[in-house]
Amino acid sequence: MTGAGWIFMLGSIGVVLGLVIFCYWRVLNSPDD
Amino acid sequence: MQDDGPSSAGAITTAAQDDRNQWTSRVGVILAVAGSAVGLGNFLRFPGQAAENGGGAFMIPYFIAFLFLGIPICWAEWTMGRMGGKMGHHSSPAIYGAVAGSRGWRYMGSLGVLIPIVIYMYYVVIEAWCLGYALAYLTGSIDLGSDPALYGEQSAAFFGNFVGIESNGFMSNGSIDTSLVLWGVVFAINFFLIYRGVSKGIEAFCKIAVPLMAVCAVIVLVRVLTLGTPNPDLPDQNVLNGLGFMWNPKPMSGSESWLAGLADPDIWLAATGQIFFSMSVGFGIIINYASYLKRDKDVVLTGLTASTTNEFFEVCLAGLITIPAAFIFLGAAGTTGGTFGIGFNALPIVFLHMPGGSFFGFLWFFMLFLAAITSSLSMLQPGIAFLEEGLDIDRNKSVTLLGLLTAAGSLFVVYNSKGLAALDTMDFWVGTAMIFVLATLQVILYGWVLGIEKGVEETKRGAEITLPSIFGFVIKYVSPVYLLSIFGLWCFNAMPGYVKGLAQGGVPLMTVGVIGAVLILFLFLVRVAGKRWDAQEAGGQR
Repeated sequence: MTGAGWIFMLGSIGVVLGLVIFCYWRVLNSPDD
Repeated sequence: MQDDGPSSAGAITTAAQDDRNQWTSRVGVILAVAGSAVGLGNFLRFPGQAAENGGGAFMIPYFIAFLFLGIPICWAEWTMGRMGGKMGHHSSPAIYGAVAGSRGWRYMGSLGVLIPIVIYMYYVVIEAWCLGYALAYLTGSIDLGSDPALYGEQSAAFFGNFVGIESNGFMSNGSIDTSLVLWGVVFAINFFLIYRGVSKGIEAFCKIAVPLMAVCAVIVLVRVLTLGTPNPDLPDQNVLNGLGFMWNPKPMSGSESWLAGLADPDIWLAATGQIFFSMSVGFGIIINYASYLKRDKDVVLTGLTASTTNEFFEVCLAGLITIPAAFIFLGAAGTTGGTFGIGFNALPIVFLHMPGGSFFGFLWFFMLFLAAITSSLSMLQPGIAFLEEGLDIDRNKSVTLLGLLTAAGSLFVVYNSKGLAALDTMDFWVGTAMIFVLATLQVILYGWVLGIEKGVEETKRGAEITLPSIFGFVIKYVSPVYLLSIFGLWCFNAMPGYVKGLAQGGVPLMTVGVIGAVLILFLFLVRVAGKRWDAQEAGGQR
């Protein structure tokens, strides 16, 4: 695993996880649910 | 492009007011759409595509396609679906006609019914394979022999026997194929759930199945990431190198560096294709599901959440499991072979080597089965909705009619199993080519026919997060050009081979005949339904 590999892996997972957490946080804190 | 066709004025919902045909919670609709999108492509196709096309570098065109193609088309589809629902429509033909104010668009909308139905015909067959493999691990009936050198051959033979890849028919060795029995079970489960309706069937099932899929995947992920170096004789085949094989940026063939490799159109085609097929845009499913939203409920946050849930399964789970696991036990050779090669040939060997492999093999294929069934369910609802509102028949009759039609088409696929010719042909012409066409139609309908100002205004209605100001420009100009460029490139690369195959006749030609017959049937039904909708509008009933 090269340094660039770590950057791509952690960067990709970080972006997706960040989006997922943001979205579900907003959804679960909305009046609907 | 507007004519004096159907109007939304005075359209009052009937079915939409039926509680059984409305989502009961926001999380429910998100999980249903995410369940529809998450399928075998996430777990088997994405990792293979990434590893073959630049490794980590693949993620650059992948995320660009996500932002400029996947998300904008998704929002457009959600918006038009919700608009249709407000007018009392739930099927693509009716929604297209109402949104465009044109009878002609109803016929184009028939693709939004045809595509999911035809995909269901072969997808349910693959779903039965997943269930069969899960049960085989549970009962310990997968036997790849005792000679590791022959595992690959034995695994391919097990798969070939299971799906009947050597010959057509329903029988082998004088008895009914196991895969046919499993097909019947899976088919019945799908129709039982779809009969129960949107909220009690699809939503209730997805609320359990999607979290369960995540739990199964996380357990398998923990197992893979703690494998270390399972074979001391092969120290290079370890977890870190497995992750490296998937994520290290690599130059495409003929490129000097991975950065220069980004100039290769193949990496863009592969990444865009993956995003496009993975997100379920252009299938006619999101537009149908969104039509069951309550009036003026948010589509921006809901659509984004469903899409990112799909990405979570694809990038965060599949990206760390499939290729690393195959590499650790089989080396680079085990990571090739496409979706079926990795899923049904390589991974069974991986589970054979892995400590506790039977348990983890069961979990893996059970998870694939859940992923498949949440997708196949979503493929039936657009057809059910169209038959109900187009022919004015109740759910019992629409489920029965669709059951007969899809059973006939699916049995055609099961019977013509030699070389998986029927399945492959349907996947190419409907599961790939027609999806590009429908997605393009949707983008044109939203950006150019409905009009970008009205479209954006509709999308923003009830939005709980800010719609990026660039969205209007992207969906009107960038997405269509991007889509058409990729479609053109794909046609140039893939079409000649398939057209040549058709010229030779046989099962591929028959399969195209089946697709054509279903298309003609639905065009006819759209005509019948259109007359009914026109009469209702004239009488002010709708």
